[in-house]
Amino acid sequence: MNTSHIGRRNGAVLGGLLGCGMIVALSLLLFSGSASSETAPAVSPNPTFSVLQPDTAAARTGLPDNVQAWLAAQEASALPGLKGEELIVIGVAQTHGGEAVVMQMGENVCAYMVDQETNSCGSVDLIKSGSLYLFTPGCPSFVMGILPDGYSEITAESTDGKGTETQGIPVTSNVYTAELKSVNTVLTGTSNAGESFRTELPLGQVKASCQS
Amino acid sequence: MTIVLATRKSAMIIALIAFIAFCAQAGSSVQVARADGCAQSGPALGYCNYAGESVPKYTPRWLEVGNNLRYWYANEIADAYGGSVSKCTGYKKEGSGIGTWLNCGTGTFSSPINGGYRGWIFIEQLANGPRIIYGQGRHNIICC
Repeated sequence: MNTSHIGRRNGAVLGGLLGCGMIVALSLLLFSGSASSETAPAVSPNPTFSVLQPDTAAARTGLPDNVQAWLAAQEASALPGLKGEELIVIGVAQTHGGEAVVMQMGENVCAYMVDQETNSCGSVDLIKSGSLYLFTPGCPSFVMGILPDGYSEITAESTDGKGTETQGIPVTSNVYTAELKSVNTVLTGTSNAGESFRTELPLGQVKASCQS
Repeated sequence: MTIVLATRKSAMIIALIAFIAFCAQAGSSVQVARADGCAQSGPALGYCNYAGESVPKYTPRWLEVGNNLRYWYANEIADAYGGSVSKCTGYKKEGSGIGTWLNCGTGTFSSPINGGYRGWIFIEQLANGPRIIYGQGRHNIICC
């Protein structure tokens, strides 16, 4: 084998690699220069919850007083999940049950019902499984929950000694609310992407509250 | 002889005190939760953390009976299983007989309490077996 041929080929390969490296380095320099000259949003809107938009000072100032008080209280919270988590994105959902402020804090997404002053927070995984719900026991019970994008309506099947009642519940801006009988109830839903869930609501387990 | 009698008497007294303490604990109808402590978080706001331990189904865990009669703003709850446990927050007004549920659900949530009433707070869980749940109460620290 001709050693000078091998040497020339190695030199060509080395030269090619150096050239490519210079092009990549130059591209990176140009890219970083253009990025630093623009004011890009710190966080993009959450791709799973279209109601959420980047948090701004104006958006936060416009929040109802009780939501702001709750947000301030979370700073002192020692419960797992929320302490020290930064409010990243925020949105408002006009639901059947009233206004809900939706927020992402760290890895959790929360919905605060302004009139009821109740709130619910959970991980994205918990929400994607359709398992994040909150209810206020009563006759009927007030139920709310958060779902990812793709659900426009879910179904509640309430079963008692007289039979089963089926009720459609609209989902507005990732939040649903409903007034349901305080009996064993199953929520089901299928997203437009074909994902589905089935969640049992233990409304019947707190039936005693109906006496109040 | 005198020393032996005195030692025996002391042992009997200690045993009696221990027995009384045991009976008081066993006879208690209220499950008392360990409080991790209360702290001031603002000029008029304090918070107390409680439970953080395994609780059987339908067993209210009250925050430190005897030391939790306060004007509560909110009772918050979480669990140790990624929020998957169905659980409830509760409250009992001063002078009322029984506690009532405020809210139930999964995830982490807080329930508002009318601050115009003094009372006690509790949490409980609805799963089929003991689960670790955490509670936090926020209260007015000026008025009481």
